[in-house]
Order: sequence, then C-alpha cells, then structure tokens
Amino acid sequence: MANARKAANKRAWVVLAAASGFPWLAYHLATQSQADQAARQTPPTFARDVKPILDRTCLPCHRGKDAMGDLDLSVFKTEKSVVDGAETWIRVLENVRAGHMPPEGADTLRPEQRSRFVQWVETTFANANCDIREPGRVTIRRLNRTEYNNTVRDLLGIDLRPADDFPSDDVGYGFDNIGDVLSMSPLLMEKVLDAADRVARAAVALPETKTFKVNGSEMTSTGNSNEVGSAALLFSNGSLVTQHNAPRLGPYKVRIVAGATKAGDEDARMAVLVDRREVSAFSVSNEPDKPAVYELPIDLAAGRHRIEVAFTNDHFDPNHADPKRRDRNLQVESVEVLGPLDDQPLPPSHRRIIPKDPAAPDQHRKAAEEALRPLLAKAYRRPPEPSEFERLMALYDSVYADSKVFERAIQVCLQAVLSSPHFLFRAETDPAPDKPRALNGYEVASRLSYFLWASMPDDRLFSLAANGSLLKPEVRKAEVKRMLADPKARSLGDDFVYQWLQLPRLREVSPDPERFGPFPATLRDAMRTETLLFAKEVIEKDLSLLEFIDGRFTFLNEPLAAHYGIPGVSGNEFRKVTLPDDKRGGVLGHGSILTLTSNPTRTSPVKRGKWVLEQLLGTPPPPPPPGAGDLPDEGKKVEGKTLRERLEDHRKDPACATCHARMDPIGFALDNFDAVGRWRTEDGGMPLDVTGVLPGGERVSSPATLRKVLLSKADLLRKNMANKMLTYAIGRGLRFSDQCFVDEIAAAIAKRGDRFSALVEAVVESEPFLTRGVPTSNSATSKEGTGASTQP
Amino acid sequence: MNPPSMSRRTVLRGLGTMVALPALEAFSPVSAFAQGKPAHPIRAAFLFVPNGINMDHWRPTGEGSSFELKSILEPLADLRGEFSVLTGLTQRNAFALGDGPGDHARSSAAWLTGVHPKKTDGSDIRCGISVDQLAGMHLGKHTRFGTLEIGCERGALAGNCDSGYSCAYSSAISWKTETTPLPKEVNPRLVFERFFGGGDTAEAAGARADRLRARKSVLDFVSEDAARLAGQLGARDRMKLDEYLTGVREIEERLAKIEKDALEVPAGFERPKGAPADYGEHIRIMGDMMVLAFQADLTRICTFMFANEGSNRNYRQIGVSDGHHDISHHGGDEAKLEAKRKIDLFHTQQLAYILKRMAAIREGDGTLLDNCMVLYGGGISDGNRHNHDDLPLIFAGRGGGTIEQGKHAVYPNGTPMANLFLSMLDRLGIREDKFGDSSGRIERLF
Repeated sequence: MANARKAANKRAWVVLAAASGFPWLAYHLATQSQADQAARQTPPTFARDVKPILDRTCLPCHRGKDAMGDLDLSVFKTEKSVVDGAETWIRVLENVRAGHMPPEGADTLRPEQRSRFVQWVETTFANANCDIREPGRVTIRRLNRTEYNNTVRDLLGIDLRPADDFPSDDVGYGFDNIGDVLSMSPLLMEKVLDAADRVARAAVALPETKTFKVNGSEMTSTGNSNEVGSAALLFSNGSLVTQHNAPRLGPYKVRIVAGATKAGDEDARMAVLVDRREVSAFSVSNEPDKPAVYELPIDLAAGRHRIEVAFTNDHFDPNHADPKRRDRNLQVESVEVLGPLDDQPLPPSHRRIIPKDPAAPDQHRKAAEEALRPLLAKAYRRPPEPSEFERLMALYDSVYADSKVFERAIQVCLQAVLSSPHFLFRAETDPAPDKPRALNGYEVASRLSYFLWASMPDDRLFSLAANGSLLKPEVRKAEVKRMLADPKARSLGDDFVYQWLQLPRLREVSPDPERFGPFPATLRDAMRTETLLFAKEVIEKDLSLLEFIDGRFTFLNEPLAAHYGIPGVSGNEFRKVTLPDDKRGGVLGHGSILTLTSNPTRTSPVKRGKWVLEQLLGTPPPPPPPGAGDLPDEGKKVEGKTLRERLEDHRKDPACATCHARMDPIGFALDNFDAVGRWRTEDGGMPLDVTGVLPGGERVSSPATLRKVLLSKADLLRKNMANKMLTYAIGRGLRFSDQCFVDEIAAAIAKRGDRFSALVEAVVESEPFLTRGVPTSNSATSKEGTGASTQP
Repeated sequence: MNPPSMSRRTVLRGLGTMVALPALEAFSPVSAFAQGKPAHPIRAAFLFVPNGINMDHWRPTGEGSSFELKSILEPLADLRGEFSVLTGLTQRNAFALGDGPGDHARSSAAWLTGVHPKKTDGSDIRCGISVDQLAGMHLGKHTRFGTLEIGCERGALAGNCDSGYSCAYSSAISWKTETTPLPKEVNPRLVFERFFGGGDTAEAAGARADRLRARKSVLDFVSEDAARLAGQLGARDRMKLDEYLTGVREIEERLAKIEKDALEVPAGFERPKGAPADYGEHIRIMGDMMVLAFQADLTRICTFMFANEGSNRNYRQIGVSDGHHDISHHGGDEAKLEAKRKIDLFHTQQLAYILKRMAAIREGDGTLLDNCMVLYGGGISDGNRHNHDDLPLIFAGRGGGTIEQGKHAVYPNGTPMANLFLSMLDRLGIREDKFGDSSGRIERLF
C-alpha cells in the first residue's frame, strides 16, 4: 500500500517536474535513472551523502547575501528545510546531475558521490505529501489580446478586433494568459487608450448635425455685390460661394432664400453649382422684400463641397419707364444645406449601451445613469461600488457640461471604463492576505468564462454569480456543460489546443521549395485548419482525449487531401474524413505538426521526438549541452551515410546518448512523413529505415506502431493534459505543491472514459481553480501584504 | 517659415526607395517641435543582430587607423571615416555563471544591461535597466517619446525560448526596470501613426482638441481607479498595477507635450502601408522610421532589433534556405560558415543603408550621423561556441564631434562592454559612475 502510494506520488512528480522550470527532471524520473540501480544498495541519507558535499563543495560560493547566482544554500541545514525549498533544490539537482556544478576549479565529485547526492534529492521529492493543500495564488491577470478582443465583442456587440495592433503578449509556461508574465508596457498602455477611444466612437453614434446655414452676406462673392442687411445683393453676373463639409455620403437638400429685382423680359436666373458643376437653375420672380424659398435635392459624398449660387443674366435698362424695371439684380438671403436626409441606422452597440434616449433634454442625466450603471457592472464583471459609479457620473457631468451632447458624454465614459484597470485586469482582491479563501460568485464566473470562452461572463453567469448558486458544484457542472455547447467554447481549441500543440510555430516555418515544392499560404492555413477542426470535434462531440493520439478521422479539403494522397475529397470546403488506412492517425498524422517539427531542408527526427515527449507525454528531454553539433542537410550524402546513420554516430557521444535514445526512435518512426507531412518510403534516394527501440524496450516500426506505444502510455498523456489545462485555466505556472491536484484531475479523467468534458470539469472543480491561496513562501517576491504603496 | 533650402526632389533622389522622407532639415531649427531645444542634440541608437557573427570575415586586419575591412564589413567601405570596429569588448554576465544552457537568451538580456538575467521561463523575470532606458529617463523630457523600441520580429509566439529562459529575454534588449522588458513595434505603419496620429490627418483642430480633452479626463479617472485598486492588492499584484500606472504617467506627460506643440505630418510624407514581406525592405523601412524620429527630434534614443536572439528565419532571398540559428551552430562546416557569412553581410548591407541615410541629412555644419552614436552588433561572438567575449561591435557617428572614428579599436579581451556605455552616457550629458559590470570608461575613441 505504502509502495503504491509512493508510486503514485512519483508519477505526479514526473508531471510536475515537467511543469516546473526544469522539465527534464521528469524525463530522468520517468526513465529510472542510474540512481535507481544504486538504490538497491543502501539508500543515501542527507547526513551522509548530501550535507558534507554541501558544506565542503557548494557553500564556499553559495553562501549568504552575495552568494553566486543568488543561490544561498547555507539555509539548508536539515532534511525538512530541503523539502520546503523544493524550487531551489530542483535547480541544484539539475545542475549537479548535468555536471554543470560543481564547476571546474572547485572541489570535484566522484561519480558515485554525485550519483548518491542526486538519488537522495530525487527520492526525497518523490515522497511529496498530499495532505498539505496549497491552492496557490494567481497574479492579477491582464486581458491578453484574444481576451480583449472577445470581451469588447461580448460587452458591446462590436467586432472591431482592436487588440490586433497591440504588441504580442508575453508567453510563459507555454501559454499567453499567465498573469505573472503578462506585462503592461507603456507602449501597450498607449495602444489600450487609443483602442478605448476608437471603440467608444464606433460603439456610440453622435447625433448628426443636420442643418448648415450661411447668410448671403457671409458668403464669398466672386462678382460685384453689396451687403443688404444679412443678405447679399448681386448687381452684376457673379457668384456667392460657401463650403460645406458633408459628414457622410447621402441625400441632402439645398435651400436658398432669395428674391430679385426685375428688368427686361426674363426673371433673374439663379444657378446652383456644386463643386463647380451646375445642378439646377431657378427663375426668381419674387421681389427682394418678399423672399421666397428655392429648394433642390442633391446627393453628396462625405467631405468638403463647394456650394455656389450664381446670377447669370444681369440686365440693365436705365431708360425703362417703370423705375422698378430698370435693373435686374439677385438678392440672396441665405443658403442652407440640410441632411443627410436618410436615417442612418444606429450601430447595434448603440442601443445596447443606450437602450433609451433621454425623454427630454433636461432628463439626460437620468438616461445616462440608466445606460452607465449596467455597462459598468458588466465591464468590471462585478457590481460596482457606489463610489465607483459616482465617479463615473462625475466624469459624465463634466463632459456633458463641456459638450452639451449626451452621446459624447456617454462615449467618453465608455472610453474611461475600457481604459480602467478594473476592465483591463482580472483582479481578485486579498482582504486577508494570509488566509486562503474561496472565490466569490463573480470571481468564479470570470474564471469560468475566460477559461472556456476567453471572454467575459454572459448574463446567465452574472445572474448565477449574483444569487450565489455558482458556488454549488452541481450548478457549476451544468454551467460547464452549457458553456461547452456554446460556439464561444471554440476558443478552447483555437487558444488552448492551438498553444498546447505549438501551432503558432507553423507561422514561422518555411520549407525549402527546391526540396519540397511550393508551400503556399493556402496550404499552411489548411494545415492549421485541419488541426483546429480536429480539436473542435473532440470538444464538441466530447470525444476521448486519446483521439489526439490515435483518432481515426481528420478534416480535409481537396488541396490538403491531395497533399496527403488521400482520394475522394473535392472542393475547398473542409469536411470530416475517415482515414482510409493506418498511415495517419491523431495529430501525429497532421501536416501542421509534422511541418512545424521539421527543418526547412529536411525532417528532424530529433525535433519530432522532442515534440512528442514534451507536448504529448509531458516528459521533455533536457536541453543539449553547449557546443552540441547539428546535422548537415539531407540529400547531400555526407561520407556516404544516411541521416539515420549520422544521428547514430552522434549518439555514440555519451553526452548525447541518453536523451537521443529517447527522442530519436520516436522521430524515426515518423520519418515516413517528409518535412511537409507527405508520405514517403525513401529519402535522398535511399530507402528509409523507420524501425527503432525505445528505452523501455518497445519496438516501433511505423507511425501506427508508435501510436500504439503512445496509447500504452495514456497515463502520461492524462497527466500532461491535466497539467497543461490547469495551467491555462488558472493562468499561472504550476508548482510542486500542485502535483497532488494534477494527480486527482488525471484520475478523474481516467474514470470517465478520458472524455474531454471530464478533463474540463475536473479542472473546474479543482482547488486551485476555486480557491485563492496564500502567496507561496519561496517565491521571488514573497513579501506580500496589503496596503497602498502606489500613488498615481 | 523660411523657404526650404532644399527641394523635395533633391532629397528624394538621395534616398532609398522605401519611403519618401521629407526634407525635415528644411524645417529646423525653427520647426515647431524643436523650439526651445538645442538645435542638434546628440542621439544614441543601438542596433542588434542575433546568433553571433562569422568572425573570420568580420574582424579587420590591422589596428588603429590602418586596418583592412573584411568582406562582412565591405558594405561600410564608403563610410570608412564615420565608424570604428571595436574588438575585445565583453558581456561577462551573458556567460552561464552556473546557470547552464541558455546563452542566446542571456546574450540579448545582458547586451544593454550588463546584468546577469535570472534563469526562469515564467513569473519572475529579472535583469537590469538597459543603457537606452537610463538615457531615456534623463533625456525623455525633451522629446515626445522618451525612447523608441523597434524591430522586425514580434515577441516569440510559443513556449520558453531558450533552455528555460523566458521569451522576454530573447525578444527584448530594452529594459525599463529590472523586471520590465519593453516590447518593440514591428509594423512601420504603427510606428508612423504613433508619431503622427491615426488615419484622419485632416482631423479638424476642434475635434483634435476635444479628443485630447477627453483623453485627459480618462487618464484622471483611471489613475484614481488604479490607486484605489492598489490598496486592495498584494505585493505581486501591485507590481503589475505599477506598470499600468507608469504607462498612464508617461502618456500624461506626452499629452502635455502634444498640447504645447502640434506636430503635423510633413507635406508629401508617405504613410508606410505595413510590414513589407521582403525582409531587407522591412529592416530599411524601420530604419527610416528611426531616422525620421531622430530628424524630427521625436526621440533621442532608439533600440532596433533586426531579429530576435536565436531567430531561425531563413534568408532565401540571398540563397540561404536553412534557419539562421541552425546555421550559426556551424560545427566548423564550411558550407554553414559561408551561409553565416552571407547572412552577416546581408545585415551590414542594411546597416550601411541606415548609416548612409543619416550621413545624407544635413544638420548645421555636419550631418545627422555626426550628432549620433550608433552601436551595432550582438551579444554572441561565435554562434557555435556561444562565447560572449570578443563581441562583434560597430560604433558609428561622432557624438556631436567628440568621437574620433575610422579605427579598429582593439581592447584587452574581457573589457566590459558597459565601459563603452558609460562613455556614451557622458556624451549624452549623463554622468554615471557605474553601469552593469563596468570597470571604468572606454579609451581610444573619446
């Protein structure tokens, strides 16, 4: 029993070592390192095998305040102190085992000294205690670019994607949503403010100014004219000109108030020119003292237009009997441009933010309160404090006093809300910093929505948060089910799976066209689409996680199917295809994964092997020692040897052997896929040898046999998935204290047929997801506490 | 305004094909944005290339002013009197010092900081303030942008970047504080819009004033929000909020400057469309943005990463199909060394373009380049060995006439690169006794 417990803990330790900054520890534990053999003799002890080495060899450099590498080992006087300093000791372990420490010039260790030292550290941590529950504390999380775009979309109903112009998000622990790592640079701050401005203007429409009026006397005269009061009198042929700035394309109306004195047979002719082209002309027969209205409809494009009123038939007859008929002149009182006359539909976001316009101008403040109160609650993802709302209304008042435009004041308030740290960050406050606490309903709602949707909670989640029922497990379970069925859950594929499988790297690859033919963007996109649709299917149909390893289906369109040599798929639409043979299966048959793990000029069995160990099994190999060589291009025969033979030479170097013995056979089993994922049976004119033996003794001889071996390691996959998804869900790197939680999640998945939803549920119900813990003791910034040290 | 002393056409003829830069010189020294400032301030730029250099084709033969350029530096031959090659400078803190693998990440992190970065791929990145940011703290008050950070590759997309080091270390060389690496702008259009505003250049003065007023009210509102929130948070959370507040304060200061002097897009200036697909063009157009910023005195300090450290991009346009990082691990292979030489040469060709641009712009009796200090190079010497001594560095510009160029300056190997930074800071009017691992000031140029 004790042994079984120990074994379980050791497996947990493997996964957590992978999650830590020193993942190759997992590999050593998984492969039963040399230390295990030594263990058959007397087990090493701290007093005999570790302490003396510490004192004699390490402490001369690693002691006190000025310790080398900021590593003070003098505090580790007892076994207990080592257990408490897990993070530090993993660093020690890594360096001692790799031979980096002690460095040249220091006291050297005999191989068996080193091995017993290493063995003691390994066994000590394999016995971690699951009775101590440390849910951990998540650092305040800034919305990343995806979350920002989605949140703006769901808050306002406007899909502007303003964050596409933001600098890229910092990545930590494999994901771009890690609170500790996401920073807020001045450049980002600037872009966030600009985005808030842009979004506010797009979301809320300002009332259009529909009238523009200019008096004749204010217009520019090109001929001879006099001012008559506010009118202008043209007494010879000439024009009055004004400029009008049309806010947008649309129908407008020009309205001229004018009169004319008479002479000769005709009435005064008044032409109207827009942008120097005559659009209409009127005969003006009424006297100047009885001005009449002349109107004509015009269409204007957005922008400045020249509006000209021209008098074109001046006539002078000084001898006419009637003194009132001697001089024909045009008198223009005013010119108006009205419009745009059609009603532009308001953006849908406008009515969402301002459901009702002010009933009367003097009731604008009431309408503002009705608009801003719900907006603030949704944007901050919790009910605002009364003082927060009052401050927003104070901002409203000041902008309104300034502009007298209700909508403008709402715009600026929206801009402020979108720029506020309460919107940009997901804060979970610490009323009592030294005590763990259960998250409240609103905090759980946000954790759920950003985990499953990469966006804000919807109305239902808000209402379940408000009445507290989201704190009940059965309600959460139902919500998870509902949320997974929502189209927004696609983000679990497009964001979580996308990053887990390292698909972003697909954007950076560029296979050599001379060797592999053209690699157009359409093919690259098709490869990405295949994997994302595969993930979507697993999520939507709630399939087994093992489908990622051995799914017998995929998604193809004609070009990708042709690339793979799979017949019977025509057209550019992707559709689900049952794979015709066992060449391909799971993501290891996807062009995306096969290409992003290749070099531009050849396949890389090493990269493929490493990818499988890292991304699927969670047991990555350590980085290569400095100076480790790379291999020359394929195709060129180097000393008449195949790539495989050359890699085997490389493995003769003992510094390289252990790791490559693990990576290379996996990679070779996939070598039937070339560097862009096409099936092949020879390379550079030589037949391929894809057989190999894994360190555990399993023989692999094809992609299909490799998949079988991987399925037999389903336990590692479960833990790896638990580890990766918990990291993504809570937005922090996992620590050693999290190993027990990962173990529990993995066990829960196995019990429920490895269903995707089982993984999600287990993560949601885990303590790290639902609890806010105390700061971890040995973190770099351990001095936590509350208090306002920050002044604006 | 005085009539321009140079026609636009004259200028255009002298320039590259990327962007029609305006003859801003014609506007100075009476240009609106230069009022009340020295006509020709001294500027500093730091241009970074990754993965080491093929040193056999870089290090000149001969010392002092009689030396012969090797093929990688051939593109700079026309500028011979304008720059020096520095040999022997070292970033000691980029070495492992017990931290194991990760030389790429360390080399970029230490390059301008002289500080040994903390090995972590997550929560607790730590390095040191970089020399450009230190300079920006002192000089930033004079210009609209304290400093400018540009590059051609975004921050890394996935995973830890180098043997357990956060991607932040290899995709940034500017560190505002010891925990805040600065992201860089990689899209020339967005750089331009930061300088001159968004698409609507004809925005009416009234609308602009309204926008600035609103922005100010928003900043007041959010700083109070942040201050109140800080009171409810633990230390680690508060650090994040401090970054936010720093951003708010910087923008407040910039708004004050913008209100004082409106900057208009000079007539005929072409707004860049976006990042060009061709890499050489991308470097040159980003270089144009840097030159524009110096010329218009929008900033006096700029860092420019041609590529991120460890970058594995291919250079197919010059016949190199494999990734740069893969090639840099040449293992003595002749073909790889030749490919590396080609890449290094390609980069110095772009450098030559930028330096020539600067040398073509008149400033008073001299040129823009005369009033600049441009440091070019990387934090790794040989990409195969990952050594951080004997670093490949070019130092161009006369720092306002205080630097004698045209040399191959050979220092005892191991001389801290930070000594050069102290001397550069002197030229910028910033007196520091110590920076990073400095042991004094540098000789032979100053």
